[in-house]
Amino acid sequence: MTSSDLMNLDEQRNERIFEDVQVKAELGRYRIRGFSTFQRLVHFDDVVFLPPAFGGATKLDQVSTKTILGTRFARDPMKLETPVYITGMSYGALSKSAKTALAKGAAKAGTASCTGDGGMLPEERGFASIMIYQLNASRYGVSPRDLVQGDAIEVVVGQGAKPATGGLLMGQKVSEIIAEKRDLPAGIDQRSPTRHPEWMGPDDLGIFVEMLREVTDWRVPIQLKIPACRVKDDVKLAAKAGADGVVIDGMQAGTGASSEVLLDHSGIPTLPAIVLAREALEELGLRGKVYLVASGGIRNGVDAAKAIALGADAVAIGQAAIIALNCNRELPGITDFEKEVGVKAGYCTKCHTGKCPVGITTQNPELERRLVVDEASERVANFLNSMTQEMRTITRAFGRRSVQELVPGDLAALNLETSVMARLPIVGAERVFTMDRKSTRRKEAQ
Amino acid sequence: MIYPHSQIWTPETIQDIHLRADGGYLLSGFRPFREIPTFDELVFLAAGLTRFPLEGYKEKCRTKTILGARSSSVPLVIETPVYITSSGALGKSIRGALAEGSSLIQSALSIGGRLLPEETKAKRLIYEVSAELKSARALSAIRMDAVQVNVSHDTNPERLAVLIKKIKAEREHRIPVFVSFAAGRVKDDVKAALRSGADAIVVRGLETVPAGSPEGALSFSRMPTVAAIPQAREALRESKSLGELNIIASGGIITGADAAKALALGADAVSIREGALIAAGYYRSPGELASDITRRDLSGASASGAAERVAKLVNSITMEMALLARSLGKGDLQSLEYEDLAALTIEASMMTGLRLAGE
Repeated sequence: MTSSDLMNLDEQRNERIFEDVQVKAELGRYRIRGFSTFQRLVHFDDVVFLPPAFGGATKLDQVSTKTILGTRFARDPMKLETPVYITGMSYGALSKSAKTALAKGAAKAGTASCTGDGGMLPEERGFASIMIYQLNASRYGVSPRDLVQGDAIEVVVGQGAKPATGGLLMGQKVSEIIAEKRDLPAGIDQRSPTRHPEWMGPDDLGIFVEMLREVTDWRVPIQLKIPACRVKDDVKLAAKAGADGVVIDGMQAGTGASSEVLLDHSGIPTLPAIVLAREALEELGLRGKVYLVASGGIRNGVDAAKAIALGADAVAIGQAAIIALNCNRELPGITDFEKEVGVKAGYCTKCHTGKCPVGITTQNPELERRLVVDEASERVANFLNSMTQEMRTITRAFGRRSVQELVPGDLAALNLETSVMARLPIVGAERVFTMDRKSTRRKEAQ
Repeated sequence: MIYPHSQIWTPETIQDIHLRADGGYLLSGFRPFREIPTFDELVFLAAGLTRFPLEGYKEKCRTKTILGARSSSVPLVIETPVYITSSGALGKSIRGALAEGSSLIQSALSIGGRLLPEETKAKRLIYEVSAELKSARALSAIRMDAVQVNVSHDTNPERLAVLIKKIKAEREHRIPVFVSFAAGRVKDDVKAALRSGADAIVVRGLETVPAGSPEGALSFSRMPTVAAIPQAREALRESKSLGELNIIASGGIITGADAAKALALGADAVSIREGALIAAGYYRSPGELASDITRRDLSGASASGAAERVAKLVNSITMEMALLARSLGKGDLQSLEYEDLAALTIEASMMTGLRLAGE
């Protein structure tokens, strides 16, 4: 970003404040939208790989991206061809076509996809080669028959885009079919609960995890998805509850609908969250036993490789996969973003309205037809393959044979905040920058 | 070649010099024309496995706020920790809208000088006076729920103590006395206010510049609100008076996230002004911020429903605060605390003493 961009951002700040206040003065409540945060945060761009000029003679196709997740307790771990899978997004937030295309695309790329807060679609199970079955506090669409069909189970403690709150599905998207699936009245705003019915704290969570193991006969991995807030404590408690893996969902995570105040002001960025999660597992001596998945704002193979170098075993993508499906893309002769959602393609955050011009986040059959499943699944697979290729290129530059061999020492930070947060030296320096807490005024909680 | 704005010769700086050369002033009624750390550089650490969140639709979050219980028999009770600061320099109809808006939300209006009939009818009134002994005399004629003494640079702490004593005697120790000052040497100033017998302090950060009264060279001689609140809290902690004297933060608070962060840093309440002026329709676009606001008022069209819009804005802010509080597992806005926050930048971390996210 150039300095002129920064000046522009600054000029926009007052305009954004005005718009926000004017809307709230009519609305009288908090605002809801889709997409992701607009805050400026430390991200993967703030760290760089520094490969040697003479990296060795590994060939690109010799680099392995195979990833095995869930070796702690599960008899059948997930075997992925690439350490990237598609995160849980509900049928309800997404159209059936979108869900099907994601499952199909992930299968083509040899990786997993995940159900979401609305139950499993038969098509989804049909096309997915590896399907993660998600359990949310709402239990919408959950059935024990579907659950045992999962190749892994994910218990959602919370999401990075809306930590400590349940899912939101605006009435416009609660169609007859969705309503029936969720056992709800059609057309009414649905606010999911945030606390699970079976457990309140980590101890009863442990019992719940054990129950899931019994139900699935200790066959499949059980992972816990945690919003990145008090990462160290939460990852340790998740490991204690008996999880095979932990998904840490950073502040940059996307959503189909969240209150803006949580999107922009709650949780910590993905990059420091990965580092804290790694340290938590190291402190417990469980690094490599409990797998770590990072998600929230991962856009390409370089971001994924950086996440892995910092300590993740795999990454999950949501927003990027949606964009691969044509989110925020004007389709000549088919869509008219400005007319349909009032903004140019590239600026749309209207997932919550159900008016998605490209048929992804909608339950309107007319709009859904704009997403052609076969073509879309191909795009998802292409995108996943491009990420895999990028990860191979980086791994090869270091002369390694597996993407899992990337380590924090391969990276350096470009600014002071990132140096502190990622425990990496600034580029060109040898020392990691730390906050000198002895000379800092500390205002301890009373 | 495309040139960005010069860092120092910004359009505002150029306009300021033009206006001064014309014999006028550029009144910044909104925010200083520079980048300063804001509440956006702090984030909340929501509940996960260490504590549980409250459900939005069935578990209440208390918003009622009590200010000035230190020595008054009737402290100021407002239904939200957000109240509205008005100004005698504003036009009549905008003043009326702010007063009425504050009543609609069961909150307070803060204003001094000669009051309009709408203002005397405000549900809760914080009456502002200057720190002069004669200020105590005029108070008996007005119905008010708190007195706010605005300290200026020539106020002497002993005289302030005498004034506060006189005000309290005048009002039979019923209503609380607030002391308001710009955030300079916050720790010393809070301790002085504590000694002078104040019930609450209103600390005005760098983001506030009073409408219609240019403070000239001293306008920007302060610290940002985000740094001032922890300083005030630290002063109280050092004096073993936490919870005794209330802290009210003013400046740069626009959204519920800003207000919730202010409370978590140690404030008991916040006052807003610019947001209310935008909601009312007084400022309609950022371009109007630099115009001479003292001569303007709400026009006919924007005057209708202005009070309701102000009330709806404060409702939104309060709901946003409650949403954040519930996500932190708190059933009362006053339970928001220091350790609910982390900083995103080194500057914000140093200013607040909060840990950097991920540190």
